[in-house]
Amino acid sequence: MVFSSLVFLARFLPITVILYVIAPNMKIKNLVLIAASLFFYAWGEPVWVILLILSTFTDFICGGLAGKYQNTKKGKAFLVISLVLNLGILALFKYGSFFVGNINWMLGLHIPDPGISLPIGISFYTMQTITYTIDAYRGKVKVQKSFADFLLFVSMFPQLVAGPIVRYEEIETQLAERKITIDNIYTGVTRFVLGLAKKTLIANYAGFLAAKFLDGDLLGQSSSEVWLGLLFYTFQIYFDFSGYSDMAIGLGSMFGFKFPENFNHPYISQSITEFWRRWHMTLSGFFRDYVYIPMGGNRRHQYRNILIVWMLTGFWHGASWNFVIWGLYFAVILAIEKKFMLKALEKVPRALRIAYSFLLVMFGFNFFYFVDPNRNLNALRVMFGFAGSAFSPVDMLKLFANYLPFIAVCVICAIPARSYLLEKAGNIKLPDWVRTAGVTVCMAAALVLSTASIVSNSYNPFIYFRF
Amino acid sequence: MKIRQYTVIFSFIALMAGIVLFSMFKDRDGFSSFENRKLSGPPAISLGSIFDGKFEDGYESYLLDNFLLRDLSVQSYQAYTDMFFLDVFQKSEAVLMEVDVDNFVAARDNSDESGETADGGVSDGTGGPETGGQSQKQQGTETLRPGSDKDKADQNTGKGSPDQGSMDQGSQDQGSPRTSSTSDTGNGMQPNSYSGNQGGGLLGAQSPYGQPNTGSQPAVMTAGEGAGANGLESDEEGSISEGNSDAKLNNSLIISGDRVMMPAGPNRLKAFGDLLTRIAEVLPGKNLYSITGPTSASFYASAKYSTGAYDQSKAEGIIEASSSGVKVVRVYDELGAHRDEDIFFRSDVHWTALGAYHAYTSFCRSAGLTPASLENDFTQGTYEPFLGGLYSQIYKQPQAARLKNNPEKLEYFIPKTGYRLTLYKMGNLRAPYAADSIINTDFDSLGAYKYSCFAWGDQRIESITTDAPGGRSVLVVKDSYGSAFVPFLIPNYSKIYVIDPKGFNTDGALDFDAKTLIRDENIDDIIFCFSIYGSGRSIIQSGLESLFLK
Repeated sequence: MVFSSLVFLARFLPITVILYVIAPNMKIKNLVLIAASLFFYAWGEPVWVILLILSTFTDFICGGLAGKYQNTKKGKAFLVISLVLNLGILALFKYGSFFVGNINWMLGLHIPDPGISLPIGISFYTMQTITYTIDAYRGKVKVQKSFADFLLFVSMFPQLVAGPIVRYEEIETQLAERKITIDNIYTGVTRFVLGLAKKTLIANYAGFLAAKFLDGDLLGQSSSEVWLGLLFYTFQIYFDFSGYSDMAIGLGSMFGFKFPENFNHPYISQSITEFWRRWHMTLSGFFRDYVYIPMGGNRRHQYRNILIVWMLTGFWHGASWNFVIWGLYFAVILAIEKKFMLKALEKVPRALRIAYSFLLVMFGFNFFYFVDPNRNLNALRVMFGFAGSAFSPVDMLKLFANYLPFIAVCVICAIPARSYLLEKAGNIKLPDWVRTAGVTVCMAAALVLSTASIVSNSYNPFIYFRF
Repeated sequence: MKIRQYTVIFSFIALMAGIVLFSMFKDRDGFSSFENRKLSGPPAISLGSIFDGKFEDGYESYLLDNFLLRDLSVQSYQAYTDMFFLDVFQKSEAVLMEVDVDNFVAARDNSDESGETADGGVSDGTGGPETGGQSQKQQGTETLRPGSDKDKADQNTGKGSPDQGSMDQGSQDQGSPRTSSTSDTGNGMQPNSYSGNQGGGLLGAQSPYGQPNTGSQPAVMTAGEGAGANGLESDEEGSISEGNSDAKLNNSLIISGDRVMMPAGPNRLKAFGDLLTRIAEVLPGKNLYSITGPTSASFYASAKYSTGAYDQSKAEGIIEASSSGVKVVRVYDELGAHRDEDIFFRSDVHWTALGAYHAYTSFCRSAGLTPASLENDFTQGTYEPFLGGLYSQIYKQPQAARLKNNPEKLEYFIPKTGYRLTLYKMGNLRAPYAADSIINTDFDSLGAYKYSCFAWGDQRIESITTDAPGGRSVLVVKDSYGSAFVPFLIPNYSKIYVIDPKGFNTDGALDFDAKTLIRDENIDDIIFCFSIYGSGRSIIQSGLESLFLK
């Protein structure tokens, strides 16, 4: 199930909230959430719910034993078992076809493709359970005694299928005890609607336009058109994913949870180093704390570590070489920045630094968008005027001018304009009722138009589902 | 602060309650005029359907399709996206989107239902195997579950509903597809009690060319079959085309200013010419005419889309060179001479009535007939604002606003010569019913496919007796292009039969022998009137083969 669907908005969410509200105590509320989450997960592909429960149970046992024997060889053995099982499941279900295809290609074999479809959210919940086992082994978190609470941690529907990746330590205490206040609900409602609007009113249209320019015969496109398509894809992926994270955080808040933030206006970054501190923060945080630092971080083999971590980051995004290239692309830039670029950038005006980062990110999404290397290459050729119609700044301006209103909306929504306005508004004494009316009208308009968008766009997948 | 929080929260709850409420209704007649398709019903539930996800997909489709303010929602979202496109610098021509016309046609299976019209008339059943119209119902029961894969495919591509732009609408229900009469067996295959002979001599309980094909299986054309039928894919004869082999462009819609066009090439026309030759051989002594309608791209698109592989002017020459015993009517040049007039719709793939009239005058010249005068012999009517089938296909595109803001007129011409039109429910000759005008002016009932007003759209079979002197008779075998052409023949012929080849002789459809009809009714002239695209289609060619050569 996806959030931006009518079955979620008009059936699942109201029923879950009502059951949650009438549940007399936290234990029952948790059971309501578990049942709802498993139903949410099973909707559309019920078979994978078994894998989810089995994986959760394995980690519950292994993590518990790793925690019991923390910092001992025995504990390490359970940690290794857990990691092997988790990564093994991921390797089989997510990367099975990729590995088989590449082995066949390299060795000229004909091993049949396992043909397993990717279980939704496996990349996310595997990361989450790994954080529990490792932290339990390290003694950072207490061993969870209740399987129900652990299952709730793994399966909680707001963050189950597309993050944010919630570490066990971040939610440990909230599982058994949390308060639902009017503040939580208010934050939850506004955040959820904001995310829904980002997804349905911006990301979907940006995706439509991106596909319009990037999905056809690339060699028949002009350079400007491919650049514009890439720009729209850059907006699409941000609003899609950050919108989903907003909805997840908002829904979590409605049920009393506080999930970590996942995006912090990444497109205003002034370097790629900063970009990765603002983009998909829970993923980069995971790789930093559970891979990069254990390998030596900045202290030992820094460049090797960067290379490995970003290769893995790319590979996490999809079982295809283009994602690995995308990761390596950032590894190279990050290494260059660490070597000298960050210092050099300090001398450059802020606007240029932002432009530098944005263009590199946007260009990088070229590797992300095109899974087929030939199309990728064709896109590059057209973009730089080696194929298709020649690059013309005038054509580009004309083309961009037509889409200016949408580009402006994307830019305004991608920068912290709201904070800026609130800051300014803080100096202007607006009557409280005006602010109340303003927030209410914006929320209502966004919800109504988002629903209209869902109804008119019958098919509405989250692109991050494939990860 | 607390007031604000409570206000927002209660507003949210109220709106969510509204969304829940609006999603709890079921559309009264299960049909969306706005999108011209049948809406999804509640999905069948079973363990299998839950585990393979079909139930879930079907349920989502059901909720979306039956949402109380669905039409308004679509329009609101369109209005919202319209704001984002300035359109200050228009390219002289741009590819709007790629379409798979045959898939659009194939995906129509949900929209085709037979039954009585809202006003009590009976609409013709849908015919073509593409539509699967008959296949959906057996003994009045749907066999294709709503929310099926085809539904999903529609939604996946975002092409779901407004798929009306293809030239060939799959001989669908044109009367009023919104109906699903319970009294109607729906399949049109059952012997029935209709015995009236409203249409003249064609009918009769013992009619040899209307035997119910009761043992047939449902016919739902698959996308694969459809893809092969457009003449672009390698077909069973292995001849891709005489011209274009660029599938991408031929399946594209292009826009130039406020005109949407579908480029087409002279594909598989040798095969069409050969077929006409073979048909001529079995119809000795009859006059055969071939009329091939070009698409508007031929006259209004740039050289890129109107020359070379897209040179539609070659079509008549190719057919003529590969056929004998058939007079190829040269309509291309005639249309070209009138290119400054509104001979093609800007928002629809078809020619206008005026364009069809020019084709008619060319035909009259070939046949030695005196063409009727548009001014003196017809009563003109207009429907506006008209947005055609191509608009329905591109309505999500930013440039669609050009058409929406500048809709066109649909003009029609009703002959002053007296006539009586008979349609046949589901193409069953034993189920005739009268229609009072050659133009179906109940435009509201035609949904997004308003071009089907001409001769009641793609009926499987029609017969017209007229007060025209001379006693001459004609059989018009045609696709949707021919629909606008037929009304002009009324002043020249005493008896006119119209057949859409897609409606017969395929699995699930009626068997029909056109030779018998021609012989028994002593028909003088046979006109094959197809679009350039339709002439090359496998479905048309195999339909002709089984109508005439079986």
